[in-house]
Amino acid sequence: MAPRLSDPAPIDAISGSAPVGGSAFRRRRRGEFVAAAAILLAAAALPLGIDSVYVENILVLTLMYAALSQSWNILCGYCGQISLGHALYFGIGAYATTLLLVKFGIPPWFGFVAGGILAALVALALGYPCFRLKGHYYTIATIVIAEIASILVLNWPWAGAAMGIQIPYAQPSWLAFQFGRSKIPYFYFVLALAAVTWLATWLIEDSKWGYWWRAVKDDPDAAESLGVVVFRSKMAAAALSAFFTAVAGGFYAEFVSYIDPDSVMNLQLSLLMALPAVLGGIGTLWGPALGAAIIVPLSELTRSYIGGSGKGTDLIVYGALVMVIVLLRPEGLASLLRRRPGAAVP
Amino acid sequence: MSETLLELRGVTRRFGGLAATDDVSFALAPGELVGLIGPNGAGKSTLFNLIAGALLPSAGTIRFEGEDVTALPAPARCARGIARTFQVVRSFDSMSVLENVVVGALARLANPRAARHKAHEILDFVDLASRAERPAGELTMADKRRLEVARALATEPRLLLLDEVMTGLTPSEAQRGIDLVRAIRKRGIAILMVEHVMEIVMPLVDRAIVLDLGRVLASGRPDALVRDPAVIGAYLGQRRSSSVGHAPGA
Amino acid sequence: MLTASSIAQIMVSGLLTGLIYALVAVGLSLIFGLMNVVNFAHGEFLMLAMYATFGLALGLALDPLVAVPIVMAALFVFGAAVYLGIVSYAMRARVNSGMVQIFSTFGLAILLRGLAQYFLTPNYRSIAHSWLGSRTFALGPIYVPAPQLVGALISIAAFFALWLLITRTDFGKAIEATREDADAVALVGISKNRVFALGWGLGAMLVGLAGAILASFYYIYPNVGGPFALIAYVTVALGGFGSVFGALAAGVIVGLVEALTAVILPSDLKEVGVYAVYLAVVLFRPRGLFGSI
Repeated sequence: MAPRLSDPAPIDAISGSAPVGGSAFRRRRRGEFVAAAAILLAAAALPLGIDSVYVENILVLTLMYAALSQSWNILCGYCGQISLGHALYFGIGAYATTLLLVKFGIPPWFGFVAGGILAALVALALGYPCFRLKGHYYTIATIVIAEIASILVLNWPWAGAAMGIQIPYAQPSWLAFQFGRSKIPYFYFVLALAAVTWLATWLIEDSKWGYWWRAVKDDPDAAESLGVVVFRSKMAAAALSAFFTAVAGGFYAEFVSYIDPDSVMNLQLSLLMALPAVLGGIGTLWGPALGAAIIVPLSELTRSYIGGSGKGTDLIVYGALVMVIVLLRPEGLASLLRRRPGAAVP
Repeated sequence: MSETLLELRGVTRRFGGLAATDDVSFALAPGELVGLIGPNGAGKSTLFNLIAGALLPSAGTIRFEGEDVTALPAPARCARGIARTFQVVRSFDSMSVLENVVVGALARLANPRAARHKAHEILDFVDLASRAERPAGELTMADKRRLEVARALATEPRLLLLDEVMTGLTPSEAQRGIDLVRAIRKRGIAILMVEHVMEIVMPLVDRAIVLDLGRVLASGRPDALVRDPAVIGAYLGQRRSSSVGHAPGA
Repeated sequence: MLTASSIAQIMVSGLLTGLIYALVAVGLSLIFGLMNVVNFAHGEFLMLAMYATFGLALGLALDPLVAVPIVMAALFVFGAAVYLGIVSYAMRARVNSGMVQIFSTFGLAILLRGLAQYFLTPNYRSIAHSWLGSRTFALGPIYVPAPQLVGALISIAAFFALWLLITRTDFGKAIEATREDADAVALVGISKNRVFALGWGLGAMLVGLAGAILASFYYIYPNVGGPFALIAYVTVALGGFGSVFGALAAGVIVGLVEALTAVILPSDLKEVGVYAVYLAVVLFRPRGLFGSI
């Protein structure tokens, strides 16, 4: 079927048995999935052994940032368009969920989905003008757009303006997505969200879109010559990324029961969504989760134990740590776990 | 279905006031192996980009298999069956050799598993199977060229545009390259190749098109072209014959 | 009431502010043009310069104008040190080098803010007495505060000096050469590392100049770099990364747009005008006004 070049003349031969390493690839994929399932189960069992609300809070935040960073990774890690304005989608999710609940009495579950869809549509609409921008011009455009949105909401009385919106207390129930004092149900929701974003990434890695996105990231012109419609690829990645980010935003609104532009739409948040992926490894499967698992507890702990005095020591530690990790391991900490970046799909 | 695979009529491409490609017309038949030669600055790469869809012409038409593809961008031309390599190798360095070829295979196959299978076949065909797992960035120059060809072949083209694939190769590498080109041709794929290295191109191709200053200077069988005074004149001042390993240009 | 003279006042004010924005931005643009690195700690460089000026005023009773050369020299050294100690490592990253640069300087920014907060407290500071102080010049019906006017003039002078440096000196030629092909310059005896370090020093020195000027009429606190940095990034991108003239032109545009927007919209919305202008410009010119990269 496929004559070898070194054959003296093309022979009607079959090129050997099944592709070399084909089953090794499937084994690796299965291994990843099994590892993820095991981690999921272990994480699900965590609350049983933990009594402290403080620790539960850290766990929830860690998982949320894992989900956020994984979503960011889809557009920026795999597709290579570095957005530092993802707080826009987080804010859309937070505000959509909250406004639908507070103004129209619509349960948060619908709000999550509605916010996600709205964010995806916004991402598509923005993609049209923005994706023709390259490199830093694109990044700054994302920053600027998020800032505009934040400023607009700050001046929009119906949406609470600078005062923000408080979510009123409701009887604890899954429908109302409120649970009194317990953080455990929030933990399970956000664990599920993190798992879903991981799964989406895992599916992407071995999908047509995944290959195309990585090709676009490496060399858009070469990708085009192989039939990849770059623009459409980026739009799909943007919409998917925005959807999950917004769902997390809606979740966060319910979790803290109060939102304002400063807490759900600011630039710092955009940077914090990207940071775990950078530390853990952009464009890798485990990077964002690993990065979140390290940086979020660390940031919370330093803030609580060192930063309380307002002396900025927590910032010193945090900033130094980010620098050290990024410089020592540019490809991310996930590379310590297994294969080198860019290697081996058999 | 006409017997012409590719037809250019009056294709012109201007940059500012300069016409890098000037009223170029020619045709290729299915399965032909044609060389595109000319001195430095003749506009060979521009012409390649025009055929591949990386550039759109300022004037003229391009027809492929009877269809007017002049306005189609590169991805659509790939879908129609035109594939190309790049003069400066552009591999996807964050991916392995196999994954690079898979990207090409996905132009025709939606299923990644089928695409991987096909990629393995293609790597066998170009003799890169032993390197399948390696990161593409680690390959030698000659192997990278081979990878580019493999990637393009994975899209199942009927016309393959090879941009100076032989440049900078050692004699033994060049020989393997020639064998590869012949093997591709045996699969029925038409090839248009830009080359500087005369000793390689002339014995290999059915016929050649000579470009000079963006225009078609002459076209015909290689043995006739090397005796054509106009062709020789165009090359005077550059060189009369080149040696293997000449630096790329044009 | 919007009279012709009040509009003129606003525009003059915007122009002067814009010239200072340009000065803040040009260092960023220079570094990017030289080596394709965006310094995410740029705002913190500004903050450090402001604190240094404040410290010299407080400790040595040096007027900000006098302190300018000292602060510039200090920032020059600091900038070169940041390159040698941090950025040169970031640039060695084979993968994700863009993100590594951004986040290593981002980490530096947070570290610097933390250090400022730790050693200097979060309190707002200002320089109480300076020679220019609260003097105001009157140009017809328009009042121009002396510090802003002098600052704007210094900025223009700095741009001129920078232009001379780049076009007339060997160092300027070395910068151009390194910008074009950083790996090839070694062949002509130019040390890429040295040019980069000096480039960072120069970029930091320029923002140090801006900081010294700003310190005489602006509040100084650990996070003061943030808003300035954002404006600087937008200015650089608007003008085109790597273009010195672009930074100047864009700075002026940003200053004017900001001032005029504040007239039409509530003042906390004034940045929206600037952002909108940026988006409008890159829609038609994806590389900014004068960018070639």
